[in-house]
Amino acid sequence: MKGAIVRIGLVFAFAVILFSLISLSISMLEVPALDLLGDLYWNWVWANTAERAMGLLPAITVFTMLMSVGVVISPFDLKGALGLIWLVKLIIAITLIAAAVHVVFSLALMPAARSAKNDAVAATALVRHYRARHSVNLGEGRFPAARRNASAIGVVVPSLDEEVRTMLRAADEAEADAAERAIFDSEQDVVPARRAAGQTATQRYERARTAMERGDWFTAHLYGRQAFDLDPRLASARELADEAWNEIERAAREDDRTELFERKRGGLRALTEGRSIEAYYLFRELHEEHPDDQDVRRYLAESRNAVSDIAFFIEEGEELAGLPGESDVVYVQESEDYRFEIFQFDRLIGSPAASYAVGLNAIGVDEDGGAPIYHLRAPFARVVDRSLALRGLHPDRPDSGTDAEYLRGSRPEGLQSLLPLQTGARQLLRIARAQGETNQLNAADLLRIYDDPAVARFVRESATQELLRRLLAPFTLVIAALLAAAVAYTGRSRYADRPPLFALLLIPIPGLAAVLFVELIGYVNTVLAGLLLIALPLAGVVATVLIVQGVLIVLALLTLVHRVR
Amino acid sequence: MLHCSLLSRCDSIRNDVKAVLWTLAAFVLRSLWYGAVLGLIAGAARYGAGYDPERVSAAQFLGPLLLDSVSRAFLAALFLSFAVSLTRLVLVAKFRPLAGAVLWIAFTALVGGSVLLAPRVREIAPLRSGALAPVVRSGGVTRFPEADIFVADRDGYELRDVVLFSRTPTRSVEFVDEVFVDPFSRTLEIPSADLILSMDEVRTGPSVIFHAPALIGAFAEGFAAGESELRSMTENGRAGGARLWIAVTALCFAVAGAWSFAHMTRWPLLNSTVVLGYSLAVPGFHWVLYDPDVVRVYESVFSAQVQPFAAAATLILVGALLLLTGVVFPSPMKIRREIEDIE
Repeated sequence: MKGAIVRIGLVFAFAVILFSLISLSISMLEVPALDLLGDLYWNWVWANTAERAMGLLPAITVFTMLMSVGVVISPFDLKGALGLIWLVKLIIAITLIAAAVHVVFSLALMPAARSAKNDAVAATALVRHYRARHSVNLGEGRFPAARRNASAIGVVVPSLDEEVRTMLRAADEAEADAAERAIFDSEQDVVPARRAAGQTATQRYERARTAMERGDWFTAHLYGRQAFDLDPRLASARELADEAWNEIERAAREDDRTELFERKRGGLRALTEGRSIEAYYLFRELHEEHPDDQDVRRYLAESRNAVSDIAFFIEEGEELAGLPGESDVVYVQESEDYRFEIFQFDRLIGSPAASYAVGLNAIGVDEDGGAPIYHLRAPFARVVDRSLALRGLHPDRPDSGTDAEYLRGSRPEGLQSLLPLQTGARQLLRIARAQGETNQLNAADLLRIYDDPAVARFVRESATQELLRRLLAPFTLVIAALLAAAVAYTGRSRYADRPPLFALLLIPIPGLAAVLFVELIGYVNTVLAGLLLIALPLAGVVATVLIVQGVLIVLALLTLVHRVR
Repeated sequence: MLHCSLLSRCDSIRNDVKAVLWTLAAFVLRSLWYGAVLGLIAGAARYGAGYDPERVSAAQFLGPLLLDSVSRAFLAALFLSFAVSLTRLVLVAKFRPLAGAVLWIAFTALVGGSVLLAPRVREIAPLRSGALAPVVRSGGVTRFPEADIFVADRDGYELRDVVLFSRTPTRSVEFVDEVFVDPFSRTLEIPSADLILSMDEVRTGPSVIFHAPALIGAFAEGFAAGESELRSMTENGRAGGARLWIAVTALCFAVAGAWSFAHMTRWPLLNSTVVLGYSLAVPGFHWVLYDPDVVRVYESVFSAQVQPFAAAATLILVGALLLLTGVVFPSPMKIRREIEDIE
């Protein structure tokens, strides 16, 4: 009997090798279309092979049953009724172990393999994107940006270090020839502002007090005003802001740089009154003239942060436009102002820093039907909290930049370049990914989509289907393996010794049959679950499916026992 | 002694007749059972894919749906049942060639009969055309390979306030007041965009879960194409009828070549798998022989009188070659003896 177990193990190993070789062949056929770079080519091939092979575990298990019970285990191993009982127990044990392994694959290893594949594709797109940006930045004299692009390539694909060195050398040589520093170079000196976003009114008031104590009137006024705006009960914050303003005016009267103070005061007023774009350009201009002024550098950063709540800088959009993302995304929402708003994105790109859309069409339809109320197009958009910012600012020129182009109608005043969304960036990206391939999402994300029908809409069905597919997969494996064992025993080989070479050469044919058999069982399970979905909610479907699968497993087991007897 | 010899001969004939009748009955019953199971699965998938709570209630078309599905699945069930019966012939206590011959004759008759009579069976309780056309829902987006459409309102097959996001040939956005879904052709035509969208290619919605997997779908389409090709031969009156029966006979003879695989090795499961695969592949893909490109090859090789029967001749040749190949394999009686010795 121990020998039989060893032989079954060898059969399983053979099955794994056979199916892995087939998966590898398919991967080699698929990869040229992706045009991957360098090491990423083999990263993708191995990851795709692993994913496919793991997905074929049910077929591998069925094939192992067919070969083990049908060929490898001879009647001499079984030695009567006890041997048959042992055989049935062994079959059940193998099946359950395979099902457990399949669950582990589905939850952990297959998503990791998929992620590695996606990383290879994304890294290739990134490298190509950075190459293009490097050329553009060099041409436009933005040498630090060009160097960053080159360095980024080295981070993404370390094996391209020779290319990175060449690109860095090119940037150095171009800079040495340039007559003046690139506009973006000066951005390096801007003191990065620590965003006060998220700070409470009290925290801002404390910052204002600290600034007041050290004589920084502008900062004291800014944070005092912000604290009062956040919490009108904080009267001391208002008093502090007023006191700081008085000091500013006094200093303006006294200081020789009255004009600078006036302009700084004007900028600060614009910033505190919510005219952040105007404030940005004011401080931008001041920074050009007085690059050493700490106030100007600080408030330039603050106004830049404030701008990012309602707009974005077009160089960010251009930098990110080439990054991989989700294509052809459609999102529909209902709102008070419109019966439906439909947003179509050519591409949606999510990064840890921000989420951007490339190519947006937005359409508003009202209750009365007929022609849409508005239709706008925008080349770029940034997802900011629960809104879409459509206005793209040029860092230096207020007259340049991008904005929404209204092809029909218009939106309310103040919301023409800022579209409210009923969901946040994360859920929007989840929905976007679900519109692609739902197997990219983990179970938690799929459930979040399912629980949000008003937002998810047509994607909800795809998410539900994927959840059911993952739930049914281990049961399909168990049922198929038990039935395969029953069939294999009935049709077991009658060779006194080893099968001849001719028969061994035909072994891949049961492999193909195993794939078809698993596909058929899986399809029957899926049709059953789909019919239940028509009548029941997901929880009810899951409960019913589990009961039905239990019954089917018992039937498969009885079939096996009957055949073996 | 003569009396004993006669009795023994009578017993043998009686056993032969029993075996033939039993083989025949098992084949027919098996065909009906497989047809019912396959029809039920196909019917359930069609019902789910076309389910629409705003349409007629299920009870009104469940019967016609099942009848339609079973009649369409019966041809595949016949080939499946023949394959199983063929492998079981090897394992019976005594191999009887007469049983095999009668099995083949019944199989051929039922295949031809199924091709001819299935449409008439469906007319007993016809399924209303378009009863199960996939649904386009309002307030949501339906995704096709060529475009996405958003529909604000729907009234049956009339879609109102439609926003069309085209992907091919160029990206564009278009507003259409009204679009009609044709449930008979299962298409959605948008003349202003020069688009005809097929409802069977919808990528979103509840119908997607019922799409058959790739391999199963390929077999199903192959069988449908083959059946359609055979039925089209009957459109030429009596000559067409004769041509149909010649084609069916040739097809069944080619499938009968699987007999060689049935006693190919001493591993019944391997034999059965090859027989099953071959018996489903031949009818699933034999329609290729009627493809225009292949017909052009016939035209260059055969005369005009022979060309209509070239496909049938090819199938008969394949069947004959396979049956001849079977002589190199152990005979069924030898395999049966060895099985009994081992067990």
